[in-house]
Amino acid sequence: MPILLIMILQPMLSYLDYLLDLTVKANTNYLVQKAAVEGRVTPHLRQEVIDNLKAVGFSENQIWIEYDPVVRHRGERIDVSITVFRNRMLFPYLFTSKTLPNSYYAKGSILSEYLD
Amino acid sequence: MDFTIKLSVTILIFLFAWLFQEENQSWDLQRTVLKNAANVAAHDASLQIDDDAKSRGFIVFDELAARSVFRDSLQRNLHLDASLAPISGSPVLSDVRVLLFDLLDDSNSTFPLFYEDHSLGFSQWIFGPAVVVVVEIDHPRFIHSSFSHSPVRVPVVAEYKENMVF
Repeated sequence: MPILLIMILQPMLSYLDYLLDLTVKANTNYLVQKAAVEGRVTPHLRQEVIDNLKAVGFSENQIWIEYDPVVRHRGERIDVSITVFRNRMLFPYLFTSKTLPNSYYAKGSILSEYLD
Repeated sequence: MDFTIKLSVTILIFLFAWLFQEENQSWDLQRTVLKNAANVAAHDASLQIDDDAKSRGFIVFDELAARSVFRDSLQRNLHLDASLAPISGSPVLSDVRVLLFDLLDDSNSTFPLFYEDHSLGFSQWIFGPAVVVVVEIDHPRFIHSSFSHSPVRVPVVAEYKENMVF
Protein backbone atom coordinates (compact mmCIF):
# COMPACT_ATOMS: atom_id res chain seq x y z
CA MET A 1 0.00 0.00 0.00
CA PRO A 2 2.71 2.58 0.82
CA ILE A 3 4.42 1.77 -2.49
CA LEU A 4 1.18 2.36 -4.34
CA LEU A 5 0.75 5.68 -2.54
CA ILE A 6 4.25 6.77 -3.53
CA MET A 7 3.61 5.76 -7.15
CA ILE A 8 0.42 7.82 -7.27
CA LEU A 9 1.59 10.92 -5.40
CA GLN A 10 5.25 11.28 -6.34
CA PRO A 11 4.79 12.38 -9.98
CA MET A 12 2.26 15.02 -8.94
CA LEU A 13 4.35 16.34 -6.03
CA SER A 14 7.46 16.46 -8.17
CA TYR A 15 5.62 18.29 -10.94
CA LEU A 16 4.15 20.78 -8.47
CA ASP A 17 7.59 21.44 -6.98
CA TYR A 18 9.05 22.00 -10.46
CA LEU A 19 6.26 24.43 -11.40
CA LEU A 20 6.73 26.47 -8.22
CA ASP A 21 10.48 26.63 -8.84
CA LEU A 22 9.82 27.77 -12.40
CA THR A 23 7.39 30.43 -11.17
CA VAL A 24 9.94 31.90 -8.76
CA LYS A 25 12.60 31.99 -11.50
CA ALA A 26 10.22 33.56 -14.02
CA ASN A 27 9.11 36.24 -11.55
CA THR A 28 12.71 37.07 -10.63
CA ASN A 29 13.57 37.57 -14.28
CA TYR A 30 10.46 39.70 -14.76
CA LEU A 31 11.38 41.85 -11.76
CA VAL A 32 14.96 42.29 -12.95
CA GLN A 33 13.96 43.35 -16.45
CA LYS A 34 11.35 45.80 -15.17
CA ALA A 35 13.79 47.19 -12.59
CA ALA A 36 16.29 47.93 -15.38
CA VAL A 37 13.85 50.41 -16.93
CA GLU A 38 12.90 52.02 -13.60
CA GLY A 39 16.49 52.08 -12.27
CA ARG A 40 15.45 50.22 -9.12
CA VAL A 41 12.87 47.84 -7.71
CA THR A 42 9.93 50.13 -7.05
CA PRO A 43 7.39 49.31 -4.29
CA HIS A 44 4.82 48.78 -7.05
CA LEU A 45 7.02 46.21 -8.82
CA ARG A 46 7.76 44.46 -5.54
CA GLN A 47 4.06 44.22 -4.73
CA GLU A 48 3.29 42.96 -8.24
CA VAL A 49 5.74 40.08 -7.83
CA ILE A 50 4.44 39.27 -4.35
CA ASP A 51 0.90 39.20 -5.74
CA ASN A 52 2.03 36.85 -8.53
CA LEU A 53 3.62 34.51 -6.01
CA LYS A 54 0.63 34.69 -3.67
CA ALA A 55 -1.58 33.71 -6.61
CA VAL A 56 0.19 30.33 -6.82
CA GLY A 57 -0.23 29.58 -3.13
CA PHE A 58 2.66 31.22 -1.26
CA SER A 59 1.88 33.52 1.63
CA GLU A 60 3.52 36.93 1.94
CA ASN A 61 5.60 35.96 4.99
CA GLN A 62 7.18 33.12 2.97
CA ILE A 63 8.60 35.50 0.36
CA TRP A 64 11.87 37.42 0.76
CA ILE A 65 12.88 39.85 -1.98
CA GLU A 66 16.35 41.35 -1.59
CA TYR A 67 17.46 44.44 -3.47
CA ASP A 68 19.02 47.82 -2.97
CA PRO A 69 16.30 50.52 -3.15
CA VAL A 70 18.77 53.19 -4.34
CA VAL A 71 18.19 54.39 -7.90
CA ARG A 72 20.88 53.09 -10.30
CA HIS A 73 21.64 55.20 -13.32
CA ARG A 74 22.28 53.90 -16.83
CA GLY A 75 25.15 51.42 -16.86
CA GLU A 76 25.08 50.71 -13.13
CA ARG A 77 24.23 47.23 -11.93
CA ILE A 78 20.99 46.24 -10.19
CA ASP A 79 21.01 42.99 -8.19
CA VAL A 80 17.83 41.25 -7.12
CA SER A 81 17.22 37.93 -5.43
CA ILE A 82 14.02 36.17 -4.42
CA THR A 83 13.85 33.43 -1.81
CA VAL A 84 10.60 31.61 -1.18
CA PHE A 85 9.93 29.02 1.47
CA ARG A 86 9.88 25.52 0.00
CA ASN A 87 7.42 23.08 1.45
CA ARG A 88 9.48 19.90 1.71
CA MET A 89 8.07 17.07 -0.30
CA LEU A 90 6.53 14.06 1.37
CA PHE A 91 9.07 11.81 -0.32
CA PRO A 92 12.84 12.04 -0.46
CA TYR A 93 14.77 13.43 -3.41
CA LEU A 94 16.90 10.44 -4.33
CA PHE A 95 18.73 11.40 -7.49
CA THR A 96 21.94 12.91 -6.17
CA SER A 97 23.84 12.91 -2.91
CA LYS A 98 22.47 16.41 -2.25
CA THR A 99 19.36 17.10 -0.19
CA LEU A 100 16.43 19.08 -1.48
CA PRO A 101 16.86 22.78 -0.62
CA ASN A 102 14.58 24.38 1.94
CA SER A 103 13.74 27.28 -0.36
CA TYR A 104 13.15 28.24 -3.96
CA TYR A 105 15.82 30.74 -4.93
CA ALA A 106 16.51 32.85 -7.96
CA LYS A 107 18.68 35.88 -8.54
CA GLY A 108 19.30 38.34 -11.30
CA SER A 109 21.80 41.05 -12.09
CA ILE A 110 21.19 43.60 -14.83
CA LEU A 111 22.52 46.95 -15.99
CA SER A 112 20.16 49.85 -15.44
CA GLU A 113 18.70 51.67 -18.44
CA TYR A 114 17.45 54.56 -16.32
CA LEU A 115 18.19 58.10 -17.46
CA ASP A 116 17.37 60.94 -15.10
CA MET B 1 6.73 -15.75 -6.71
CA ASP B 2 4.48 -14.55 -9.49
CA PHE B 3 3.40 -11.56 -7.39
CA THR B 4 7.02 -10.69 -6.49
CA ILE B 5 8.07 -10.65 -10.15
CA LYS B 6 5.11 -8.48 -11.14
CA LEU B 7 5.78 -6.10 -8.26
CA SER B 8 9.48 -5.85 -9.13
CA VAL B 9 8.73 -5.06 -12.77
CA THR B 10 6.13 -2.47 -11.75
CA ILE B 11 8.59 -0.76 -9.39
CA LEU B 12 11.29 -0.78 -12.05
CA ILE B 13 8.95 0.82 -14.60
CA PHE B 14 7.87 3.38 -11.99
CA LEU B 15 11.49 4.27 -11.17
CA PHE B 16 12.37 4.80 -14.83
CA ALA B 17 9.25 6.93 -15.31
CA TRP B 18 10.18 8.96 -12.22
CA LEU B 19 13.74 9.53 -13.42
CA PHE B 20 12.51 10.42 -16.90
CA GLN B 21 10.11 12.98 -15.41
CA GLU B 22 12.86 14.49 -13.23
CA GLU B 23 15.21 14.68 -16.21
CA ASN B 24 12.63 16.47 -18.35
CA GLN B 25 11.78 18.91 -15.56
CA SER B 26 15.47 19.56 -15.00
CA TRP B 27 15.89 20.19 -18.76
CA ASP B 28 13.14 22.81 -18.63
CA LEU B 29 14.57 24.53 -15.54
CA GLN B 30 18.05 24.56 -17.08
CA ARG B 31 16.68 26.03 -20.28
CA THR B 32 14.72 28.68 -18.38
CA VAL B 33 17.68 29.90 -16.31
CA LEU B 34 19.93 29.88 -19.38
CA LYS B 35 17.39 31.82 -21.44
CA ASN B 36 16.81 34.35 -18.66
CA ALA B 37 20.53 34.87 -18.12
CA ALA B 38 21.24 35.15 -21.85
CA ASN B 39 18.41 37.68 -22.23
CA VAL B 40 19.89 39.81 -19.46
CA ALA B 41 23.46 39.45 -20.73
CA ALA B 42 22.47 40.41 -24.28
CA HIS B 43 20.52 43.36 -22.89
CA ASP B 44 23.57 44.52 -20.94
CA ALA B 45 25.80 44.12 -24.00
CA SER B 46 23.37 46.17 -26.08
CA LEU B 47 23.83 49.14 -23.72
CA GLN B 48 27.53 49.39 -24.67
CA ILE B 49 27.21 51.91 -27.48
CA ASP B 50 29.65 54.47 -28.82
CA ASP B 51 28.70 57.94 -27.51
CA ASP B 52 30.30 59.80 -30.45
CA ALA B 53 28.27 57.81 -32.97
CA LYS B 54 25.17 58.29 -30.82
CA SER B 55 25.64 62.06 -30.88
CA ARG B 56 25.63 61.84 -34.70
CA GLY B 57 22.36 59.86 -34.63
CA PHE B 58 23.77 56.37 -35.12
CA ILE B 59 23.86 53.36 -32.85
CA VAL B 60 27.26 51.69 -33.05
CA PHE B 61 28.30 49.11 -30.46
CA ASP B 62 31.60 49.23 -28.62
CA GLU B 63 32.54 45.63 -29.41
CA LEU B 64 35.16 45.12 -26.71
CA ALA B 65 32.93 46.52 -23.97
CA ALA B 66 29.90 44.59 -25.24
CA ARG B 67 31.76 41.26 -25.23
CA SER B 68 33.21 41.93 -21.80
CA VAL B 69 29.87 42.97 -20.27
CA PHE B 70 28.10 40.01 -21.89
CA ARG B 71 30.45 37.51 -20.25
CA ASP B 72 30.38 39.39 -16.95
CA SER B 73 26.56 39.32 -16.89
CA LEU B 74 26.47 35.62 -17.75
CA GLN B 75 28.92 34.93 -14.93
CA ARG B 76 26.91 36.96 -12.41
CA ASN B 77 23.52 35.53 -13.35
CA LEU B 78 24.58 31.89 -13.65
CA HIS B 79 27.33 31.89 -11.03
CA LEU B 80 30.11 30.90 -13.43
CA ASP B 81 33.89 31.25 -13.36
CA ALA B 82 35.94 33.12 -15.97
CA SER B 83 35.83 30.14 -18.35
CA LEU B 84 32.00 30.01 -17.97
CA ALA B 85 32.13 26.79 -15.97
CA PRO B 86 29.64 26.49 -13.08
CA ILE B 87 30.94 27.09 -9.58
CA SER B 88 29.34 25.96 -6.35
CA GLY B 89 25.74 27.14 -6.13
CA SER B 90 25.30 27.61 -9.86
CA PRO B 91 21.83 26.81 -11.24
CA VAL B 92 23.36 25.24 -14.37
CA LEU B 93 24.91 21.78 -14.40
CA SER B 94 27.48 22.15 -17.20
CA ASP B 95 29.80 24.66 -18.87
CA VAL B 96 28.11 27.42 -20.83
CA ARG B 97 29.31 27.70 -24.43
CA VAL B 98 28.84 30.87 -26.45
CA LEU B 99 28.28 29.67 -30.03
CA LEU B 100 27.46 33.02 -31.58
CA PHE B 101 27.99 36.62 -30.56
CA ASP B 102 27.19 39.03 -33.34
CA LEU B 103 26.78 42.79 -33.21
CA LEU B 104 24.59 44.33 -35.92
CA ASP B 105 24.57 48.11 -35.88
CA ASP B 106 24.49 51.19 -38.11
CA SER B 107 28.18 50.72 -39.01
CA ASN B 108 27.78 47.27 -40.59
CA SER B 109 24.11 46.70 -41.41
CA THR B 110 21.07 48.24 -43.06
CA PHE B 111 17.76 47.57 -41.39
CA PRO B 112 15.46 45.73 -41.65
CA LEU B 113 17.54 42.66 -42.47
CA PHE B 114 16.88 38.96 -42.49
CA TYR B 115 19.50 37.38 -40.26
CA GLU B 116 20.42 33.77 -40.95
CA ASP B 117 22.94 31.37 -39.52
CA HIS B 118 22.63 28.06 -41.32
CA SER B 119 25.08 26.19 -39.11
CA LEU B 120 22.95 26.91 -36.02
CA GLY B 121 19.61 26.78 -37.83
CA PHE B 122 18.79 30.29 -36.67
CA SER B 123 16.98 32.97 -38.67
CA GLN B 124 15.04 36.11 -37.78
CA TRP B 125 14.00 39.48 -39.16
CA ILE B 126 15.85 42.26 -37.35
CA PHE B 127 14.53 45.82 -37.44
CA GLY B 128 17.24 47.78 -35.64
CA PRO B 129 20.72 47.57 -34.11
CA ALA B 130 20.93 44.28 -32.24
CA VAL B 131 23.07 41.89 -30.25
CA VAL B 132 22.55 38.36 -31.57
CA VAL B 133 23.65 35.55 -29.30
CA VAL B 134 23.36 31.77 -29.20
CA VAL B 135 24.47 29.92 -26.06
CA GLU B 136 24.23 26.28 -25.06
CA ILE B 137 24.74 23.86 -22.19
CA ASP B 138 24.68 20.08 -21.99
CA HIS B 139 21.38 18.27 -21.66
CA PRO B 140 21.00 17.19 -18.00
CA ARG B 141 21.22 13.40 -17.76
CA PHE B 142 19.76 11.37 -14.93
CA ILE B 143 19.49 8.12 -16.88
CA HIS B 144 22.73 6.98 -18.49
CA SER B 145 21.91 5.33 -21.77
CA SER B 146 23.43 5.01 -25.22
CA PHE B 147 21.00 7.63 -26.57
CA SER B 148 22.62 10.98 -27.10
CA HIS B 149 20.68 14.11 -26.18
CA SER B 150 20.87 17.39 -28.06
CA PRO B 151 22.38 20.19 -25.98
CA VAL B 152 20.11 22.87 -24.54
CA ARG B 153 20.59 25.71 -27.04
CA VAL B 154 19.13 29.18 -26.60
CA PRO B 155 19.08 32.03 -29.13
CA VAL B 156 18.67 35.65 -28.00
CA VAL B 157 18.25 38.89 -29.94
CA ALA B 158 18.46 42.15 -27.97
CA GLU B 159 17.28 44.71 -30.45
CA TYR B 160 16.76 48.47 -30.55
CA LYS B 161 13.38 49.30 -32.02
CA GLU B 162 11.94 52.61 -33.05
CA ASN B 163 9.49 53.90 -30.47
CA MET B 164 6.17 53.98 -32.33
CA VAL B 165 4.15 55.33 -29.38
CA PHE B 166 3.33 59.01 -29.78
